[in-house]
Amino acid sequence: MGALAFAALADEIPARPEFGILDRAALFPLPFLKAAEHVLSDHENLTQERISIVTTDGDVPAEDVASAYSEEWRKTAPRPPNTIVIAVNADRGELAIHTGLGLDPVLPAAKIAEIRKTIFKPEWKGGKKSRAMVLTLVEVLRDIGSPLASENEAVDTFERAGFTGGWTPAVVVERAWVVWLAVLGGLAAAVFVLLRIMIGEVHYTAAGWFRVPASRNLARMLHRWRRGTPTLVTGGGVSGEY
Amino acid sequence: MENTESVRSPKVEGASEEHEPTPILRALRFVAKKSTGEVRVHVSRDRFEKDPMGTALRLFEEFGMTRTTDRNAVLVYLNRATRRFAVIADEGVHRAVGQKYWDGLAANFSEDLRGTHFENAIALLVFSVGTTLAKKFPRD
Repeated sequence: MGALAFAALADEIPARPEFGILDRAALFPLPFLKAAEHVLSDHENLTQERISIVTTDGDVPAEDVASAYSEEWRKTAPRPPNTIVIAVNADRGELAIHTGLGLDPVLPAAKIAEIRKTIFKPEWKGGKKSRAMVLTLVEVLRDIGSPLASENEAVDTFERAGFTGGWTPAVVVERAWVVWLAVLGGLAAAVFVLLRIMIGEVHYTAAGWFRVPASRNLARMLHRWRRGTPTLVTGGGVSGEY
Repeated sequence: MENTESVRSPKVEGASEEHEPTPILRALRFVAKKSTGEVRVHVSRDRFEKDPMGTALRLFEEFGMTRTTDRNAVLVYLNRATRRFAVIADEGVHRAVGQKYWDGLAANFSEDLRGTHFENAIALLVFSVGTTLAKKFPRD
């Protein structure tokens, strides 16, 4: 982000709300908002670690918002290095989590990327934005070892506020696509094999007749693909139709 | 136009005949009794096959029909799904009868397939080929 744009953003940053959530994009329904505020407040009282949530819209990337708000809001935190700002840009569908130096070891960049990929994005892409927010917050609490997570108090708080649908995030859309492709491929292969079996070849000799197994037919087909059709070198023959 | 298929008991893989021999088997046994030549018949229902001659050639090799002493084996191949057929003869037979013989045979076979049950048509073809083989390659 350019220095001028960052400066402009910094100028706009209001004081941190009392309970830590600035929901400009209105992603939290009121019951969930209250529940989240309750959870953030309890966590700070228990651990002196300040978690804040900012939701915005517009063109400013979530990463820049998280960085700017973290810089500004940690000035009033009880322990400035132990802060987390969770920023979401609703228009761009972006999640960013900025941690203070004190919490960086427990919530490193790799873990944040995993939260974004496995929890936030699947729910967000499924249109369940408030669910994406709640699941992300609870996962952050779990990863930093919050007592509210280990004793399931955060989960209970949100469930009392009406959170439903379980705590397992949706399957990533890309993976589902691959599964469907595999299923269709398997079906196509099964239909192909069935058709080969239905050919029903019968071979007659002076000694008797027998049905040719489908496996032999398949082997002949593979042989044809690999080696092509043999040529009639010295014999003769004719083909026709009726 | 083909007649409806006659009912027979199903067979497991094997060579012996327990019931009344089919027309095709009767014809093949006639050939085996009268000639040193070998005739085989292969019937398929492969709706995706495009080249009956190619298939017949592969079958000819697959069943080892090039290994007869006098190179006098003949394979009759019929695909009932695509309504096409092929007749392949090894060099010994072909040298004895010439291509015109096969062309005439194909024309008769085609007409017989349209006029009677496919088994009867194949039997007629095999009897015809068998008669020729008996003259050219008699069994002593």
